[in-house]
Amino acid sequence: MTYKILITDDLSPQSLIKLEEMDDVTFDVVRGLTPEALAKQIPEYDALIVYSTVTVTEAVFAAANKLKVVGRAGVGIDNIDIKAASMRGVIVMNTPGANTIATTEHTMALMLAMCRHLPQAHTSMKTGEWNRKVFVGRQLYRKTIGIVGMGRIGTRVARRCQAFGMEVIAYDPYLSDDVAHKLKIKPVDLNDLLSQADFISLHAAHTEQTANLINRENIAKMKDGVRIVNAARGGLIDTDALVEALKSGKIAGAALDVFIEEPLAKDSPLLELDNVILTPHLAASTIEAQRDVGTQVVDQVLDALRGKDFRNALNMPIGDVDVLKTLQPYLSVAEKVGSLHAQLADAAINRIEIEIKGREVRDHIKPITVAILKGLLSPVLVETINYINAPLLARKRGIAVSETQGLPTIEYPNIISCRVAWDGGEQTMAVTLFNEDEPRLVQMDKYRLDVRPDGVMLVIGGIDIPGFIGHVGTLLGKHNINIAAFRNGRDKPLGNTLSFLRVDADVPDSVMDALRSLDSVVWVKKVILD
Amino acid sequence: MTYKILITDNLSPQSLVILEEADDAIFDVVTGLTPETLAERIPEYDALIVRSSVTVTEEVFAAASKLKAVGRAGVGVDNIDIDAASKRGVIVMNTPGANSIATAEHTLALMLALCRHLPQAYTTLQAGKWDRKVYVGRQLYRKTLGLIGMGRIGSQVASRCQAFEMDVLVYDPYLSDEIAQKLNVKLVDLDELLGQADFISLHAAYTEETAKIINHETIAKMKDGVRIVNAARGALIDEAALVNEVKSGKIAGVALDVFVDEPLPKDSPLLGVDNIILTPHLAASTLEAQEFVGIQVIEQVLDGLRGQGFRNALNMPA
Repeated sequence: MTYKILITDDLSPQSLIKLEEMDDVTFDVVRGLTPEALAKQIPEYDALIVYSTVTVTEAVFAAANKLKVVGRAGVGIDNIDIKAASMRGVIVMNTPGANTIATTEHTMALMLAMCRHLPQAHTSMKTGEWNRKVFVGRQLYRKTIGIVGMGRIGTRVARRCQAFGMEVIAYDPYLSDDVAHKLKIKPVDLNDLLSQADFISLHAAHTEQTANLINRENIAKMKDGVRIVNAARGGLIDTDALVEALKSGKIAGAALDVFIEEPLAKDSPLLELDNVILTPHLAASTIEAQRDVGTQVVDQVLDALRGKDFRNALNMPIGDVDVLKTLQPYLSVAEKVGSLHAQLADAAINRIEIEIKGREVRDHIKPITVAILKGLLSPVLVETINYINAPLLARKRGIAVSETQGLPTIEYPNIISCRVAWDGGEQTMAVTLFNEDEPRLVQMDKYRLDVRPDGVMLVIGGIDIPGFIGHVGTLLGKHNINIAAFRNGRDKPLGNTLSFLRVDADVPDSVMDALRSLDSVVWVKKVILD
Repeated sequence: MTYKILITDNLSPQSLVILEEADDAIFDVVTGLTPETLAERIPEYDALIVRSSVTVTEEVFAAASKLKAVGRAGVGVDNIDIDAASKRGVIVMNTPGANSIATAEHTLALMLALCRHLPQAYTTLQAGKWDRKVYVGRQLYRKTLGLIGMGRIGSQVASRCQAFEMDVLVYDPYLSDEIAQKLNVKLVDLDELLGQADFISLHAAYTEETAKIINHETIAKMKDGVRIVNAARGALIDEAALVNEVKSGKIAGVALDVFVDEPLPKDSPLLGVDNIILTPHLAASTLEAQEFVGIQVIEQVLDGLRGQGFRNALNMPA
C-alpha cells in the first residue's frame, strides 16, 4: 500500500528526508494553492499536510475522495473546515507542543526587552546617540507576575519567571490546587490577578470567554504601571483600550507578538507608541520549532495512515461514515450540555455522571462522553481540547467521570442525561434531538424544559408569581434586547421557576444587575454557546 | 560631631532620605563638577559620594584636607585616583552586589533579544513591513552556555539559564570545584569552553589576563554560529576582530552593552553590522538598582564616618 501525501508549504528539510526514506510513501510539495486549485489537486491523495497559508474548505473535502488525514503543522486550525472533515470521516490533527519552548522563550524575550527598553536603546545607538538616562529599566526580581492560562506554555513561563526571583500567581479555572502547589504558584481568581500583578502574561486560548479579556473594565482593576505581554492570541486584548491605557500611563508598557488582524495594519495606533514592543508573530518561529513541527506532523500523519495511532486528532475518527452521520448531531448537543454545565456550575466540577438511553445513542457512550467533556473543558482550558485528549485532561484535573443508570430524568426516545457535582452542589441536565437534528434541552434539575441551546442565553431562577414573564420581558425590551425564545419550567404552581431565554444580542452587566433586582428573580446567569 | 558630605551626582530620593534623617550628617548635592571645581569645593567635606560622571584626581585629594572617605555608588572606580586617596589615608569604597541582579537580567535580555532578532524585527514592523521568514530565531533550550568568569553576576546568569534548560560551562581559574558543584556548572579550561559553547557570555573582571580575551585566535576556536553577549567590560573584546568574524558569519550574532570607548564613537564599525545588538551601558540601569546602590553607598559612608568600619573598601590601609 503506497500512501500519497500532498504538502502545501515548506516543511523542514529533516521532515522531507523522513518522508523520502519511507518505502510506502510518495509525496509532492505544491505551494501557493488557492482552495479551488487545492480542490483540483486533492483527489489522488491519501493525506494533506498544511501550515497556515492554505485554506481547506468544504469544497476541498468534497473533492477529496481518497483523503483520510489532514495534518496541520502548527496549532491554530482556523484555516481548516473541521466540520466538513468530520462529516467525511477525515481526521484532522495538529501538533501542539512542538512550538511550546519557542513561544515560552519568546515570551521571556518580550518581557525582558520591555523592561530594559531594548529595541529603543538599540535604535538610539544605531543613530549615533549615547542616551543612558532615558532608558533606565525595571527589574523582574521580586516582582509579581500574573499568568493567565497555565497550560503547556504558561507553566514553562512560570518556571523561568521563578528563576528570576518572581512571585507567580495564576488565573486558570481548571488548574487544580494540587498542580498549583507542585508548581509553587498561587492560584487566584481573575480580579485578584489583575490587582496584584506587576506583570501580566497571557497564555489562554482565544474563546468566547477569553475574548477581549484585557478590556477597559479589567484594565481599571490593574495596578498602576503594570506591564503586559501577549504572545498568545490578539483577540485576548481590546486594542483600543490598551492604547488608551498606554497613553495615560496606567499601563507602563506592553510587548505584543499577536494582533487582532495580522499582518498588523500600517496605520495601527500601536505603531505610534514608544512604550510598546511589537514583533510580527514570531513566537513559534525558531529553527528548532520548525524542525520539530515538521517531523511531528509527518510522524502523526504516517501513524494515522497506517492505522497505528491518532494522536492530536481534533475530530472523532468514526470509521463508519453512516454512523458518524447519525451520531454527529448527538455529539454536537452533548458538547452543548458540557458547556452549559461548565458555565452554570457554582464551582469547579469534580464529578460527572452520564446516562444514555435510546437506540441511536446507546452504543456510543464513549464518543458522547468525550463530547460532553470537550464541551465542559473547552470554555476555559488553554490547550485545544479534542476527542483524544479530553478524557486525559479531565483526569489530570481531578474530574471523575463515570457511566451511570437511573438518573432522575424524563423519558424520551433518545436522551443524554448528565449530572455534574462540585464541592457543595450538583446539577443535572438532559438533552435530546427532535427530528434527528434539532437539539433540545429538556430538563435541568427538577424542571422540565423545551429549549434549543444556542447562542447567548439567560438562565433565570425565579419565583412563580403572576407577571414574572412580563417583568423580565419588559425589562429586556426596555434595554432593546430582543428575546428569541422564552422557555419556562416550574416545580409547582406559585413555586420556583427555571427559565431559559435565548436572546439576539449580548446582555451587558448593567442589564444583568437590573434583572437581579426584580422581585421575582432569585438569580440570573448568562451562558454563551457556539 | 556633624559630618559634611558632598554628593556629586544624582542619587535616588529614597537614599537621600537616610541622610536627611541622620542627626549627625548634613549634605550638599552639586552636579556637573570638573576636577578643578571639585577641588575648590572639597576642603570642608568629610566624605565624597560619586557615581561615574565626576573624575576624582590627585588634585582633588590634595585639596581635600578633611576628607576621610569616598563612596562610589556603583562598581567601576576608573574615575577615582585610588593611589592618591591611599597616600592620604582616604578610604575608597564601592557597592558591588547592588547592581548584580540588574546586570544578570540585562544579560538575559540581550541573549534572548539576540536569539529572536528582537530589535531588528520591531524596527522592520515600524517601517510598515510584516516580515516573518527573515526573523526565524534560535532557542536556548538544551544549548550550551559558556561563561567566562563567574562571580556574583555570572552565577545569577547561570541559574537563570539553567531554568531555560541550558547546560552551563564555566571558565574561571578562581572558582572552586565546590562552588561549581553547588551551582551545578561544569568547570572547564578556556579551549574546551570555546569549542563547546553555543552561547558565550562574559562576566570577568578586566585584568591583564582577561584583556581582549575575545580575539581572532580565541574566536577561531569557537563553534561556527556561536552567539556572544558582553555586559561586563568593553576591553574584554578586540572589537575589530569581532566585527570581522560577525561579517564572515563565523559568529552568528553579538549583543554588547559595553565598549572599549564609551560613549561609543559615531564611526565605530560595530554600528554598521546587522546582527550586532547594542545598548548604551544599561546593565546596571534599573530603578531598583539605582535605589539600592544609593542606599548602600550612603549606609557605607555613614557607618565608616561613625567608626563602625568601612565596608567594601578597595584600599584599606595595612
